[in-house]
Amino acid sequence: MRRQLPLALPSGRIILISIPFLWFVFFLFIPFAIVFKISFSEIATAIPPYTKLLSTINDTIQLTLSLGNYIFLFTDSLYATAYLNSIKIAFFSTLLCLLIGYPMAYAIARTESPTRNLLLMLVVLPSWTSFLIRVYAWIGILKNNGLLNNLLLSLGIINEPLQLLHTNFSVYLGIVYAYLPFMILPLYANLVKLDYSLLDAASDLGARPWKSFLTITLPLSLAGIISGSMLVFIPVVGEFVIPDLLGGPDTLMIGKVLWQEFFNNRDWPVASAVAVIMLLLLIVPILLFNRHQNKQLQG
Amino acid sequence: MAEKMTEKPPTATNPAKPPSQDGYVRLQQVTKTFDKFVAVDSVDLKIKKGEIFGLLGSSGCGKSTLLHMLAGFEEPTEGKIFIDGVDMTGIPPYLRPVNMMFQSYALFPHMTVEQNVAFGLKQDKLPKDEVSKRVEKMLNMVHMEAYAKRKPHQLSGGQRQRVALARSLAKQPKLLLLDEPMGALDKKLREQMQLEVVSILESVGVTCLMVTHDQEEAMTMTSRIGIMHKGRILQIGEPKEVYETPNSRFTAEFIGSVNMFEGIIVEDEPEYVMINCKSLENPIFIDHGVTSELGMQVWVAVRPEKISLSKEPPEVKTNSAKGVVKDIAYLGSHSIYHVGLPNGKLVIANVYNIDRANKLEITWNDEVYVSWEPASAVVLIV
Repeated sequence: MRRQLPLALPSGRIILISIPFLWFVFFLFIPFAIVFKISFSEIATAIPPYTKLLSTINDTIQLTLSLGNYIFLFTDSLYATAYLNSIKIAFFSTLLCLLIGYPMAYAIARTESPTRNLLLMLVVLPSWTSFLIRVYAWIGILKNNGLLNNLLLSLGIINEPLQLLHTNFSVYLGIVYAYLPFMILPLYANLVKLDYSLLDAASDLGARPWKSFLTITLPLSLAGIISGSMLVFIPVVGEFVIPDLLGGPDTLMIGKVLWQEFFNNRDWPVASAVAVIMLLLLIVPILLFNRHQNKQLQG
Repeated sequence: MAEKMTEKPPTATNPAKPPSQDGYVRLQQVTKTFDKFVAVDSVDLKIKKGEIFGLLGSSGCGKSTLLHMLAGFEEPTEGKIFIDGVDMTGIPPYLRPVNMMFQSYALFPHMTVEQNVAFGLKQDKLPKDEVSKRVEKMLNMVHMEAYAKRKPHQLSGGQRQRVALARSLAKQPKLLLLDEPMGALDKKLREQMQLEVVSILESVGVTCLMVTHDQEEAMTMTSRIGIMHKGRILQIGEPKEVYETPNSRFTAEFIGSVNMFEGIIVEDEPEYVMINCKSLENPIFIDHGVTSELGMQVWVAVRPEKISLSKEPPEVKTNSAKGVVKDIAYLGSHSIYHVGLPNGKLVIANVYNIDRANKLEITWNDEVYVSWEPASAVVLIV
């Protein structure tokens, strides 16, 4: 009797699991399926602006799959360049975030509790204002008659304004600024669990501080490094706002290309194909990340 | 700070003084304060070469701080530490000839047993084949050669301890520090490992300082112990010496259990002393002189195993009292009797069960006499 009841009512466990599952289905899987479908259609002057995959001709249902969009992506070098450039920018900004974020996370993890909470809050605090506003603020700082140039001019360090805005420099600056918390937080969560008696043991056994760091701290925080890097790398590859607002005409990133295809050219099928390829490119690091996590779980 | 910088670190060209037997490790007025809290208070200590010395104290007595100062994780606020004649002031942990076995073992979780043991040797830039030879020797010594490729989390508690011991001995330190060596093991394993660790340490001949709060551990494993309380070492001696002739109430009560009678000296002769206690009807007779004076307040300590119980009144009136059995704890090898005296004072007596079979069974609420030999009591002034 008691065993039958759970069958009739969904258990708490099933409800709990189904929430993220449904989220995944409705907000990731279905939209992606739609995009995937559009990528096989052709551009058309219609609403929505693409041809249908299924059509009825002479009472027979016909499926038309066009690979033309994908072939087009491989023939026009613009796309390859944009992909490569996005990956390059994502790679170097991840590296910069890691180099800046690691010491910060380590320092926060090693401070005592009241100060530690304050420092953590300072890391998160900027996210309380709009992302867009924060990126806009950098325009005000970096532009030719902006805060930074005016300061340098008034100090007599430079004679004419530096071209800071709309360069790769400003893109890197904006990305590192915006994504640094995503690097710091997982690193912090990892480093705070580090057993510091291991460092004492290493020192006791004759390892100098730098050697202890390389042989103990670094390998043991690898999981944090990987998850922080993934949290920066993956969204930066598809980043649109920062290169659009802070980048120059030669800052070619795939997010920007995607936007142009969708909204300027209104070529939804090509834009969809761009999105699909981007996802495929990102699957590689995601799979690597997963494999590492599984290995960690298995120990 | 500037002074420290000018001091020359000990090197081969700056040879150590000839090793003295009783001061291989020497602590000279070592004090450590944290803000205003005095963790270690002007401690003097000499450890002989090859000796296993135990520092015994409850948590917060400063024993761990002392250990950390020897390892180099903390610098003494005042005083000096010498190891084999070399002043350790300002020498960082990674340059000291000291290794430590941590309470948690602190094995590197991402390295195999072999790599853990090799870690210290690699820091010394020893050639590869030399490292692997030494690692093999160490693992053989602790019977862990079959587990060389395992990671620490694949080992049991006792196996981890063996690895930790092998790792801390691999560099052949001049001083080995053991921090609560058996703290992470269950009771059964603890007894087995205590003897095994001691036999390994003795076969290596390493000088050893061990800190523990477990008196049984300290007494089984060490040749001498120091009782530490509130940052000071109260008494140093062989375990038997400290147990049989404690020099203070604290030591007497800390090591084992004890019956303590507070009293006043009423007869003070060179060959005997009589003490009157409020809690005892009869006076206490001590069969030797005590450096004291008439009317002085003293404490008399009698160990429970030195107290005998009988249903008949003893022939000599001194050193005895009449009471009622309030409680009996049967512990297998012996039983602990709690005897309540008329004024409420509880006297604890251990009765070995080999005796109990022959005697009249004494049980709850029986009227009994507690008594002890004049030589069994210790007079304490502080």
